[in-house]
Amino acid sequence: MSVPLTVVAALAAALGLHRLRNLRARSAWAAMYFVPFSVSLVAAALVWQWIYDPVYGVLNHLLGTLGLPQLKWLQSLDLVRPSLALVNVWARLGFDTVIFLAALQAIPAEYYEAAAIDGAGAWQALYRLTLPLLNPQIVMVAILELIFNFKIFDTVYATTQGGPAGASQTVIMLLYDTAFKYFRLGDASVMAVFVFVSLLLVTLLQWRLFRRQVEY
Amino acid sequence: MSTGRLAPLTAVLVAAGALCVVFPFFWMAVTSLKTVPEIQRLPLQVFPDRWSNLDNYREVFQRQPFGRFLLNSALVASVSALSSAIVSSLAGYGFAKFRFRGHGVLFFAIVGILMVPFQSVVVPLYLWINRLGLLDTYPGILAPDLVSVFGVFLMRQSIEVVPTDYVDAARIDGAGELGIFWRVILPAVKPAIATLVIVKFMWTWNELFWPLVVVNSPTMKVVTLGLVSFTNMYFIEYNLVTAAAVVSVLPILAVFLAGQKWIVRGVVMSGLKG
Repeated sequence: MSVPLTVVAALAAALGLHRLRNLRARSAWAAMYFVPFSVSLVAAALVWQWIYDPVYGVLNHLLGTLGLPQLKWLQSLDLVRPSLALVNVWARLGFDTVIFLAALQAIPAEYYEAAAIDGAGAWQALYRLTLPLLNPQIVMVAILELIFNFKIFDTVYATTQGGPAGASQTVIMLLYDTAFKYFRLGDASVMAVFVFVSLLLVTLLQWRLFRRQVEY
Repeated sequence: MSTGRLAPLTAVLVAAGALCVVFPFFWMAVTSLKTVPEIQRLPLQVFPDRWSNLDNYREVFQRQPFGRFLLNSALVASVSALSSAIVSSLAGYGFAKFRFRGHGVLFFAIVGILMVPFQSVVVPLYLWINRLGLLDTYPGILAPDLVSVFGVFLMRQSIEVVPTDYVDAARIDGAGELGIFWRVILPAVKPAIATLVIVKFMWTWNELFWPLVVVNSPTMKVVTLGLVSFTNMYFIEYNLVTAAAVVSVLPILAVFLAGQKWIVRGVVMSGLKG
């Protein structure tokens, strides 16, 4: 669920950053997007849990000030997953932005000059030129995020532990509980095989896609 | 590009996005300096009454051996970073500059391990560490992190582009294999080693899953576990949690800011080459 959001947000951030002419400003702003990457997911999750706090959290204060209804976020059956997904987006955004930014910088300026001479506007240049050229990176980042989100554990363990009522349960959370809380190592191993096979299929898919995309 | 008119708007949007991304850090820092009545005050109070209020930090270190946690994390992360650098650069040299039987198969097998998620092998790894009697010890915490598969891959890619002529010239001059490695190869791939050391240090410092499995006693905990232990109470004291979070984040933030150039290199290399 958070995969498309992360990819789109990172792409937007990278395109915006790439537009900045001043190189020093560009790298300074890019660094700010990248900082969350350095922090442990545990620390990130705990700080976000505080921001999400239903009574004293800054997010509900903000909503209250704007006259919007206040929500229960991590304690709500419907909102717990989007809320945790947002933490992931926050933590991963910078990593993806850096990859996109590097790819953007590798596109020769002559392509854009040629497009401008042919009468292409800025949007056309984006759709016809930039996005197709970035296709390999977009596919790769999407797959990396898919794998990352499939394995998500730290944020859930530090905050909801799979709750409320199992609404935010993840495969790895279940695997951990089965193996090291209930010591049913056999059951846990079955889950481990399932995780491995699923991710293997995703990776093989990635390779297949890559072979086709590399033609550009 | 005809983007002249849009440039100010882009700059504003980029800045707004960056501020949103940085906001949780700001909020963590100001909360860690507030007292409980301050964080529960209505209407919301942004800044602490007293900027020099370090009581939360004192409380964190009193309630848990947090200094010990920091020391454990620093030790584990440093050893794993150094060990990975040594093993990876030696292995990378072997794979890059020598041809031997099973060369391709072996390298493929090692890189293939990258596809195996750690969580899939954690149960057998736990049983194995248990049988070796290493649960709850430094070697036990370190064991899976002593070698980095990503590192072997990174080092091979970097050493491959060092001209083989240099190696041959040194060999003719009578240098031994270790001498060649030390004097010819290593100086040429310093940037890659810097990348590997910094990235591996960060990964190990931030890791939660394996320490959670292998550590039992409070004195062997690393900072990520220490952080979690502040939430196991029925009521979470966020002024303490944020103070602990600041303590756990500051060292890694320092490493990150100092080594950002190398980290970006690593991300781009691993990212663009898949």
